[in-house]
Amino acid sequence: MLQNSLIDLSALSAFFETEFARISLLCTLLTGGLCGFLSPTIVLKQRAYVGDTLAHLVFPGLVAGYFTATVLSAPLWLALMIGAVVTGLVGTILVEKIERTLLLPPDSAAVVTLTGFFAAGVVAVSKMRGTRIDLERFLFGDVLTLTIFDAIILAGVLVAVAVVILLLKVDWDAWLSDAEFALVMGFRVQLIERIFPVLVTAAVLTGLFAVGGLMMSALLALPAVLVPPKSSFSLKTIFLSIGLSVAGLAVAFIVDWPVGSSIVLLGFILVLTKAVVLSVWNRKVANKI
Amino acid sequence: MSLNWENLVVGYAGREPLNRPFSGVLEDGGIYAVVGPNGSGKSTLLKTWLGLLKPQSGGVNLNGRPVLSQQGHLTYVPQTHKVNRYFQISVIDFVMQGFGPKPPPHSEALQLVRESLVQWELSADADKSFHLLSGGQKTRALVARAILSKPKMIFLDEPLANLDQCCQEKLMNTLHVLAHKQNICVVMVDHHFEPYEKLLSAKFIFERSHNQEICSVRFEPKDDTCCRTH
Repeated sequence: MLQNSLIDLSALSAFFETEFARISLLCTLLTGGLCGFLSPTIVLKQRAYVGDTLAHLVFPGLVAGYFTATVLSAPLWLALMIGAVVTGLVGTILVEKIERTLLLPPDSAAVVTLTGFFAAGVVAVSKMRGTRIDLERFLFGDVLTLTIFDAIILAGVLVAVAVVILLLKVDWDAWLSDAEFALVMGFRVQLIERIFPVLVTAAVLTGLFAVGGLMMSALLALPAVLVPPKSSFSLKTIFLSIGLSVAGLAVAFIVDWPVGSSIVLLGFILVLTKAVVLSVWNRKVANKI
Repeated sequence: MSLNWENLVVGYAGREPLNRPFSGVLEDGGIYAVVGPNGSGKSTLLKTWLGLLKPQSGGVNLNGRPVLSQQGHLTYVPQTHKVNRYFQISVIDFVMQGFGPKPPPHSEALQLVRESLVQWELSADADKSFHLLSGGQKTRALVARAILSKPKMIFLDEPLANLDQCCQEKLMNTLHVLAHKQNICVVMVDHHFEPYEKLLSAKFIFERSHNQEICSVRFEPKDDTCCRTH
């Protein structure tokens, strides 16, 4: 048993001597940090569905990008990026318009739009003969194929998000607790309401190309679900997010699972464990009373 | 400090207006009650005065300029359920928001907040989550937060609803002192002002005649107040 563990550790050590493994670890750390910074705001503002929504909204853009790159012989990564950004932004604006015009709850407007966009992407794929879009990679990503270019983009977005959250911390907190009071008192509510969707869109799009839409969506929610933050900036949430990402990467390596799905599953197991422990604890307290 | 409104009609975009046009000005200290039946537009009027809602017609300005461009003069006590229930902010941090975006140095701010918590009998709950407070305690925390910045005008939306009689009296007496000793204009929406009629300077009454679908807003002064409507 001990011998097996030593073999595993030496294999792990050898694995992280390769460049692609070090880049994948770096990207996982950066993604964890990025989600840890945004998670408190996303969960406290009840916008956990935004990550999943964006991940689906960009699908027709990816299909269009793939088609454009094939027809025009343009660089694939550029065509995919432009397509995703365009449909992501158009979709986000549409969600807001539908919500305000039809007086719907925001999650309903988001679900209606994301399914519509995703369906449009599926129809487009079905009409493109000989085209196969790798949905698994789109949802779960493939952290082992990332390059230093992906790491630089992730680091740039992480720095931007961290600076905006830290510089406007009192404004974020006031907006999160009571937006109308914050507006009356002169907190920068209008600025935050403009910046927030931009930050989330940037994070999801960056993460989408790096580690997949589903993982980004889950990682944006999981840290603040596991440790409810008391502020828009929470070191606990950031460390938890990074820890969860690295632990997921380790599990993926040890049991040979896809990295994105390992992180998501690990987080989900932690949420279930927390729910069970709290449920048992609450029952014990109720019985004592 | 002068809050003016001309031919003001309030209501939500795309919906029926809630009142007939009315004009007026609030200039001086006093307690002004806004009363009327449920759904008549009292809270909507309050939010329109504060600049949180656009009027359906007419306009509101503070000292001749848009209300939201002059933060720091006005403050707001919303109903308790308006505070985000998922945000487990501590009572002390919650009240601290009353200083606005530019608070005094931290130690001074903390001292002032602690004094305010003692005044509102919340010092034992300073580190508790705001959402673990009772309804009455929440209202007291909201009021403590609102008056921390020493505003010129305070707008309160149904602050008496969650308070027992003792706390209602304490709140009304505090507001009376603020209104008359510090010349602060206090505007309150609520349903039952009967025990406190003597403390009021004037009332804005939403009323609907038998043949009217939309309310008129009637001004009823109680003393020689500087508030008037045309």
